[in-house]
Amino acid sequence: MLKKSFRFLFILVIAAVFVAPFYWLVVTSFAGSGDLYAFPPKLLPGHFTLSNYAQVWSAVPMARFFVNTCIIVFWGTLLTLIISALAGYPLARFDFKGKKVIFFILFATLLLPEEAMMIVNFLTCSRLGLINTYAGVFIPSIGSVFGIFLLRQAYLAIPQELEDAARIDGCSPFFLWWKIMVPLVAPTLATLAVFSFVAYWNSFLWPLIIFKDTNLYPLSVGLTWLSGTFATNFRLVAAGSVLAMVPTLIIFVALQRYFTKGLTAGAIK
Amino acid sequence: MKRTSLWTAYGFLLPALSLLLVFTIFPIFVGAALSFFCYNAVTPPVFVGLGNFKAIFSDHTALIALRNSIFYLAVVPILQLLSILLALLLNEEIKAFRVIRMLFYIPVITSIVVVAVAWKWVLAEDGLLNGALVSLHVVRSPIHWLTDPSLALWSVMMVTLWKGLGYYMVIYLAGLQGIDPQYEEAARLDGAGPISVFRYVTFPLLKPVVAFCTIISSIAAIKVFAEVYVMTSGGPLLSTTTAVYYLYDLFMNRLQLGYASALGVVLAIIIGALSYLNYRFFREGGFESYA
Amino acid sequence: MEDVIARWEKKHPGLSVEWIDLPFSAIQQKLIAAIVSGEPPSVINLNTDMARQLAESGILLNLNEAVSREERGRYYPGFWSPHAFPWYVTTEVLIYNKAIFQQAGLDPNKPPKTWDELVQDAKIIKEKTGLYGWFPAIKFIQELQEQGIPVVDSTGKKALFDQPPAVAWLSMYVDLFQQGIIPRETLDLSKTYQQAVDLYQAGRLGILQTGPQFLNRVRNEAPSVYQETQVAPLPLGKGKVISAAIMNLVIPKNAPHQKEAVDFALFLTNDENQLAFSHQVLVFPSTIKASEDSYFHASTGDSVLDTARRIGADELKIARELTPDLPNAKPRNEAIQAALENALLGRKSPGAALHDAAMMWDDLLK
Repeated sequence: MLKKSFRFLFILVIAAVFVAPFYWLVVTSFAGSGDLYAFPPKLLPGHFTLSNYAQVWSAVPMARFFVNTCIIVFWGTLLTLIISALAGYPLARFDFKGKKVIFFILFATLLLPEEAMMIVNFLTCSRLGLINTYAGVFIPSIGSVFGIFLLRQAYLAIPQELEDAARIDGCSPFFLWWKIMVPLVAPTLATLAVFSFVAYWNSFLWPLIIFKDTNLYPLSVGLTWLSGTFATNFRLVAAGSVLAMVPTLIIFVALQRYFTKGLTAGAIK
Repeated sequence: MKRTSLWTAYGFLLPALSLLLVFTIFPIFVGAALSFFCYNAVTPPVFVGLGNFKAIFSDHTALIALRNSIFYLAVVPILQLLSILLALLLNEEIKAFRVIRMLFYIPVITSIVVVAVAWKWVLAEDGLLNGALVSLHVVRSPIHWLTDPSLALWSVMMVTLWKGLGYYMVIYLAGLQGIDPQYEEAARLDGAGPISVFRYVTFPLLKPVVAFCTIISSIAAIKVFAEVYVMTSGGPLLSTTTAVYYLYDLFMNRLQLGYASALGVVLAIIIGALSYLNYRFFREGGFESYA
Repeated sequence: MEDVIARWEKKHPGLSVEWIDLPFSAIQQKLIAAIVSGEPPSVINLNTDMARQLAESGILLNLNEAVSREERGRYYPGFWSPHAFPWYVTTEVLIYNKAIFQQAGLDPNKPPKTWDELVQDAKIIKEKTGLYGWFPAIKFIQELQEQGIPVVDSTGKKALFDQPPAVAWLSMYVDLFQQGIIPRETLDLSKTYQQAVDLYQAGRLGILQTGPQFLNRVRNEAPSVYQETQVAPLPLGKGKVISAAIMNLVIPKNAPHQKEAVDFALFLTNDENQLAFSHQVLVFPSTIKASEDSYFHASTGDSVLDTARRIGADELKIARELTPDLPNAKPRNEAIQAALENALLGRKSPGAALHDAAMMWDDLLK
């Protein structure tokens, strides 16, 4: 019995220490001036204030960063879902010439680092006039091989008989796909949506390269800018950071199971 | 599986394939080609053959960047070990554990920028960590986590580790739950202590998961960029300049696209070699060195 | 500026000039993006470091080809470089607080004329008044050259600043620092100048090295200190040069209307316009004729500013950009910072600290 409670205590301590940076981030965001450089730092803020949040939302283009991120996340996720759902289907259900080759190519691309491709993608986007645009940020990544394979797994899991039973004679493959198959893989689509949401919400390197106007920055890049511009006012930066974190946090807490499901689907094959 | 018309099949695949062609396949070939040229995006490219690759070997900064990225792999065994330990510790369906597992996963879904910004201040000379250490009398004066050339890289690695723990913990948890408890029971009945159970029963059964995690963890370690960009800007004295960070600098600040592409090619080769090595390592059962 | 633009546009009907100001931190990214996407500004105003970085990547117009020798000749040769038009220049002068000098028993009409004298005065002021006599913002590499000490060898691939004369120069600072003659804030090289300025304006600093334009700030923000302020030329070291801060105009190779861009840059930096600009702001022209104008020797009733103007203009003749034009500026500067820090804090001897930095330079310059 003692061993168990000792183990529990041990875990609690580790968890507490682990979360300390976030705790400090949140506490600082609510702190009035002067508390910050108390040595050692206080556990609870001396003056509780919302002024940092007010300031970061109005005086700093935080709201703009939010809007920009939402636009990118919305279109990125939506298009990723559509394209993955489309592409996964023939790979699961059809037999056609060149299928093996396509498979091989898709699989091979998984091994390559995007960092090596970003130079050329930058030049490509430049030629296509996509620099400094929202489209330039999400278009290169909506053809997600991860998404395609994930949906393929989902289609494979649907019994052929179900599909056959639901089909109406003479309907086009597209109709079948849209009306029957897609609803059947809805849970996987939800998982992909959740993953895409977080991925686009947190993406950093590519938006950093694409965007030149500060008021087009999404949250990740905007936060870097904030952290540099307001290097001496960490309370402000903390407030901005917390704001940036909250949406993904909410999604996570509400939709936990989709995360675990998607993660393990890849690992335990 | 029915034989379908080519049109139908490729119709479904068209959007994905065309995007992949333009943004993944095309860049591989053009990027590789670009590495044989000198190009600044303004004047026409100049052919230099293997010049860029030769330059990498005499470029002090490039060598340091590659060295730092390879050194960064040290984070992988530590991260995997801690994640496995965490998974073992938290492998029970108590409500409290569910909450704690969630806590560990929060850094994973948080933007690396938020994480790096927070840690940058925690590791500041007058930040949380030094404050705690000094007031607990562990050290007498603050430690220069991010400004001491011999410490900075370790500090950045620690941040990467902190962010990744929850991710691998969840995967290992799933892996552990996939192991039939009969095996462990049998070993325990034979008198094996918990460490032996783990070493001879659990871990070998977990091996495929470890293999998978090690590969993606290694690749992620080599590609580290954001932590460096936010926390140290590659300094002090190049000690945290990683390969991707240098690539970014060459590309966006110095407009040496050909040279940067060459560095990218070298990086891709290293990653390929790493993946292969990982694959061989785990296939041949070399897990003794882990436990 | 609008006037300059209007006059130029009159001479070039059909063309209009759009003048855009950007905060310094935003410039680099935006500029590179604009250049790479094929829509660069035609003329860009940058400091020397950034201008050189762009030049290194090969995207700037070679001005030795675009500008005739005759036109080039109007600039001080020390300011011209193949990829940048020098626009306005500032050098450093010594400003000092008469009252503090008197308090320390020093003759306020005899400001230090050599660096040795300056060090002496700093010691005396600290001793006799308890106030700091000197608060240097150490620009080590530039200062070495001012002292006639070479920084790299003629091939530009080997660092020479770990030789005895350079070590002696650093040791001078180390002694002053460890004896408390110069403030400990000297260590934080990014903030030093600002803090020195604040201290001087508070009337608690004897001598300040600064660009002359700073005097206007003192006049507005600390009039009582301004009353006590005198100006003297920067002591000349054995190298007989003074470090200059130059603002440049560069032109990207893919700039639209390249010929007109060159013409505009030449127009903006001609004697007449630079002189007019100097009337507005206390900076100095990069052209010879303009700097010899009687304006810089005039008496406007404010003797302090007059002296500063005269001294600044005279210094132009021996001023040069002393930041070496070598690759890998950022890590090289960091290496020097580290050496200074290690030496000042006593972690390493000046010789050892400089030697380590020199080794790093050798690696970076290969």
